Amino acid sequence: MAEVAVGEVRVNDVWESFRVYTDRVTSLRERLAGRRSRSEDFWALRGVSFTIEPGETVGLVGPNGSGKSTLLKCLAGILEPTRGTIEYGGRVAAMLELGAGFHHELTGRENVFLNGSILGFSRRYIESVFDEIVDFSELHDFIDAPVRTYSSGMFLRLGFAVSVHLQPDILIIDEVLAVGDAHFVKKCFDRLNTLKRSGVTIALVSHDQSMVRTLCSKAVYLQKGELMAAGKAHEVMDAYQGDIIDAEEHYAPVAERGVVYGTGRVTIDEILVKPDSGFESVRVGERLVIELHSTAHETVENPAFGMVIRTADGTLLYDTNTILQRMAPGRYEAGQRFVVRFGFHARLTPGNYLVTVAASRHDDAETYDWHTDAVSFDVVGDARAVGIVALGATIEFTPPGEPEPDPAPRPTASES
Amino acid sequence: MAAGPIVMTRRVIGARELLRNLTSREIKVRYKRSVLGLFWTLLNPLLTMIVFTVVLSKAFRLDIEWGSIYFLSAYLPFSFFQTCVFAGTGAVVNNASLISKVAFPREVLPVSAVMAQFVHLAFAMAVFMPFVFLVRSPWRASLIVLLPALILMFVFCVGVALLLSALNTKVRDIQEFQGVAMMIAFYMTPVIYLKENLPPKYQTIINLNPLTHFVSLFRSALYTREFPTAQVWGITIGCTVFTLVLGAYVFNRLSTAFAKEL
Repeated sequence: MAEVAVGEVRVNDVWESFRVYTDRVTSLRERLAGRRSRSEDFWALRGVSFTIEPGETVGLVGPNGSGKSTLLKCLAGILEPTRGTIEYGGRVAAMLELGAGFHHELTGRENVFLNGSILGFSRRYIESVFDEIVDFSELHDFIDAPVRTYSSGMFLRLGFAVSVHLQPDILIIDEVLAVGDAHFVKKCFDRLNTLKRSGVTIALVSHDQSMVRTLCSKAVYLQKGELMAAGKAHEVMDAYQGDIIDAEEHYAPVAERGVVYGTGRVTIDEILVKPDSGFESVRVGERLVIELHSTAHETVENPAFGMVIRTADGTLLYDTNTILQRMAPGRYEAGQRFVVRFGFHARLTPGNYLVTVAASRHDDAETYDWHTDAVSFDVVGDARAVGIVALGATIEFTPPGEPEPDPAPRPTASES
Repeated sequence: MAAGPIVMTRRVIGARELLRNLTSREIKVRYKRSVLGLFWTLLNPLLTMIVFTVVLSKAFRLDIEWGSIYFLSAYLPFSFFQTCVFAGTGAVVNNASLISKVAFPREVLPVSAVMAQFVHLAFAMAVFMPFVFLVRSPWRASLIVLLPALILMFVFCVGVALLLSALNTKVRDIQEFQGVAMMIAFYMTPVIYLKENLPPKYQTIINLNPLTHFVSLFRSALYTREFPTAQVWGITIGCTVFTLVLGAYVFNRLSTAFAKEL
């Protein structure tokens, strides 16, 4: 086989198995008593092969549990393939978690050097890009403060800044753009484009399909650990989205979805979901606007508009309308087109949410137009919580405990 | 199997920046919020020495010539070993988040844990030496034994840390058991008593403990001021090589599964 070029990645028939313990033995007593761990092998990757050419930006896509993250960990060298090989040319840096390896008691400056050396870069090199890292993270005043005093946003900014300024030949990113405010997301996006232009090979996992389409030249589509398609981003994404539509009629236009009824004095012709970032999916906590492009077919006085948000399994999360908000939208003449915008923050955990919209008479006595589950949007990112709503709870201890030498919790037998 | 330590040494040297940073992290973090900081490294053995001297000479009326030197010359290397066992055992499992998120040579973790303890030992030694010179000068040719003693002790502890850090990912009993194990080790090593004072049958048991011989290297340089016997050299060098090879072998075998196990 030919020599691997710098920035090139060759994935050759990679299989990766995990031992799934149904009954795990982690203590000596049990082991001595002759108890064996009961386990079965789960194949997260089944014979995946593809090549990434130097300078390509590749998006790994697929539904949850398709093996994307496992593949990414193999690419990053964290997991070794059970079978098959991965060949690289050049230096690989992986960003699977922003600020992984940061120590809370150390200052930002100390952590930059520590993190840089964990990623395999020399002190001299880190010194040469240190000022850029600080500029990018906008932490000039805090760089000598312990990281434990940082807000979560500051922490992530520094983590991202370190990873993207240590110009590797191959950069591996896991869903990390789904964090931070819109301003910072844009900055990260710009930085990735700069890296791309400078010829860095990038492999990333993202749930944001529009981001994969805009950022990536190539896409790799996995399902249940098998490679479904690999090739030009647009073609692969079309195939992937086609499968999603087949599976759950996810992206069907308004007319084909759910229940639609009403007298039609006012119609809702188009429904758009617009996250502030401009991407297709919404980050946890991000503001988004749902636009109802409507037409009055007769002259109406104070038409009422409402929006309902449900989870994919139908749980009612939120229901508001102009009546509840005590609004009088005014008078719309026959034939007049207008837009109603519902703006809110997606304080929701990652998942798929359905939006029902309706227009009715000012006293709700007549329904003009009703669309059940007309559109859906995906919330992506890390809510640091499970459940449905992202309340963003803060946690504090009074008095604070003694600092441990390392923030990692002491693992117990139940972890795996 | 003998290739294990060589390949590993090459990997660790390749990651020397990381090794240095992790070592300084261990030291910095340990004293981050304490007022006396690194001074504790010196204060701890000093206070322990005073306690033992008082307890042994006054309470137990144990009469050892130059008792404080006798005690410290063994206590410092022993406590180095002990802290290496504690820090080494947790070196991998306490960095689970790092291991599952970043690729780097895993052996750097236990090795840096031992290096951080070695820095503490060096500081303690630095304070202890002037004291030894004041009380009873070790200025003889035998003082040179201190150098190989430190090197052997260091490499031995690296082997132990590699072994324990890897095994602890499989069987967590190690971190539970180590407290008792170290207490047994302490009483099985002639730190606070003279081996010669024991009945012969106990002396045999004490001689089976490798630490007895490591400690006697340090005593040769600082206390007895005589060169160690060939037997002591043989046992310490043998134990060091064996432990390092075993530790490297076990660590290599288990390290590929760390990211999955943790």
